[in-house]
Amino acid sequence: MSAVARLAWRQLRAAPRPVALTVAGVAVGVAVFTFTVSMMDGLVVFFSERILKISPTLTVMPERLEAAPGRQALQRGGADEVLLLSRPAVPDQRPTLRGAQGLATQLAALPGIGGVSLLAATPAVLAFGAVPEGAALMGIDPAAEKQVTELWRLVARGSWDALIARRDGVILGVGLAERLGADVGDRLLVSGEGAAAKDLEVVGILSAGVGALDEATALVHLSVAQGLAGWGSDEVSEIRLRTDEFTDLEPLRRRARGTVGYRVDTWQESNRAALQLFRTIGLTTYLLTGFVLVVAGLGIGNRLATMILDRERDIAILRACGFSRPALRGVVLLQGLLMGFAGALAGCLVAALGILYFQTFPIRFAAREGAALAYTELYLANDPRYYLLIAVVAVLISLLAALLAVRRAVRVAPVEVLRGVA
Amino acid sequence: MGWREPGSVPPREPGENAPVLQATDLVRRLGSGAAAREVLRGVDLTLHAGEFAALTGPSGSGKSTLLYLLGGLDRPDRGEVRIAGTPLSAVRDDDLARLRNRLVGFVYQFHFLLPEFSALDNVLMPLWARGGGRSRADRAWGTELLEWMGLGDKTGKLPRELSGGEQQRVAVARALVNRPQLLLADEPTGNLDSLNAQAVYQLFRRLHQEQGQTILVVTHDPRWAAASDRVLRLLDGRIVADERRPPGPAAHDNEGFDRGGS
Repeated sequence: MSAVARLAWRQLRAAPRPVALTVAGVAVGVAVFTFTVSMMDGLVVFFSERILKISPTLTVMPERLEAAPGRQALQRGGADEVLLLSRPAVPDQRPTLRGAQGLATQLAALPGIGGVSLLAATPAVLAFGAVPEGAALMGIDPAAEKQVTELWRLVARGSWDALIARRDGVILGVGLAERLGADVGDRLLVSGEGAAAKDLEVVGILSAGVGALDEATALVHLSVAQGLAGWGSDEVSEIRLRTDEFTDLEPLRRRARGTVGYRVDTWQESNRAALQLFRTIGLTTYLLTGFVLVVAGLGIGNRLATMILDRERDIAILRACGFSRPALRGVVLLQGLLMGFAGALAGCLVAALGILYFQTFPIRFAAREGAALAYTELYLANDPRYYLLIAVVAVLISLLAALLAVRRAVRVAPVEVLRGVA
Repeated sequence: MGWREPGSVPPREPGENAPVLQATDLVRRLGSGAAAREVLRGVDLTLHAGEFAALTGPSGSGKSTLLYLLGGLDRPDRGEVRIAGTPLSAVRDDDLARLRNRLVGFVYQFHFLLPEFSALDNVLMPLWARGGGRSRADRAWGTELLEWMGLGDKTGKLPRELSGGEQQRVAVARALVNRPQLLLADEPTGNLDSLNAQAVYQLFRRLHQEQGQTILVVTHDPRWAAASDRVLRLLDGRIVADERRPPGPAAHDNEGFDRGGS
């Protein structure tokens, strides 16, 4: 061990209680920060997983894309061409996709696409006896939908397969069913904007844990929804795709868009508002808990400053013995580094144990009625990168605090201190 | 290992050698503004290898200030200090620390031992400062020094486990560990009882006699002065007397301490 390391270590060891308190401060900061990051990330992971269960990864929207004239000219490479500037194409009056089956076939042939389903979404009124309820009718091909989403797994009563088997079947969101007072086996009268009302039988109750689905959605066969909306049999409101890749969807999106010429949204874009909200909440939380870490790190600076003040005489004698300023700077920086590292290590350990504990014995709470997302359990993500990143940040803050303190140490003038004592 | 490194010059009779220490026209002002005062007013001083000199004078005469300048711990406002021929004014602060480490040993009125290190580690501290002190040879040398100080059985003791006199003897060993050409001491017994003071004095005396160590001691204890080869008297920032005693240690060995030992 070098002289600098020996001096740093022995001086820390000489003041075990204040040093332990300082290290504990850093440990608390690191643990709180790590736990918070884990909790926030857990929430986003929970939300993303839930969304991925009920949503397609890519959605073809009824909005035709046309390249702007200027871009077309540039793509042709005609720098001297006179460009004709015109207004963008006016979108269809009715927001539907025509020729849906053909488009779906083209999309299914693309590499990386695991499933394609069609959706006809239209508002409807459901009546069970004398109780009418407004609902969002989702017309799907239940067999194809199984390849795209996991809605079929979320049927609490009845079954998805019953919907496949019966053209006059309907699956109700659990909240909607409660408001109607209807259950599996009951028959409803469903009317839409177009054709005459249809008599449908409840074959399942959906409990997705997502307010929009549970409270207001009724799933029916595609043709039923198209009929009730007054649409043609090849007309849908969106084409839903399941891709093998979940995160880096840009190449697939571009390919799908190029194939059909319609706008294609990723699941992240479709849920941008919610994801953005989580990010904002996360950022605010990180900032607040980050302050705990900064304050803890500054505690190291404070401890070192006190140690330097207490040890001015020792520093003076070390200088008199021939220790250079860089060597003394090294002693203080190493002390900051050691305390920061010890605090970060202890904090990571506490956080890891806490996360492991709550993952093993999760905190459960009752779902709020009508909530956008049923969050009934504290989800904690556990990624080694948190620990590494937060530990590095803690050590850097400690080092920064030590750098502030070190200036005092190297300013100690041996003669003034030694004379003062004498 | 031993008192002299291989190839180093053996001790010679006082006055025979080139000066170890030379101070020319030293002026030092302390304080600032209206409170500023000239503590040293043009001090000239030369110390040759093997000399044992005492610097005396009343309190406030500038003894310690002069000693700190001579040891390179402080810089003069005017004048020059040369240690072993090196002018200190030309040396930067960190290089001065290295030079001090190599050429000068300093003993203070207080021992200033680092409390969390053993006696041996404290002795080896100046070697640590130059990247040494860890080899078996260095540790053996530190132990030899402590043995020479009569502390051979206390190498592993912490300063708080030693008496005041023992602590000061460890401090003397620390000052000697780099085999300095010059040993400076600022009232080394000022904080000790008479028994311990005598032990430390004996140590200095032996260092001078047996090892030919060049020593300058600041003291206002007349017994030190009586026992030294040369007595410099400082008054109001000037050396007003420079009295040389006959060479040879036998003439005044233990003089003063033995006679007036209290």
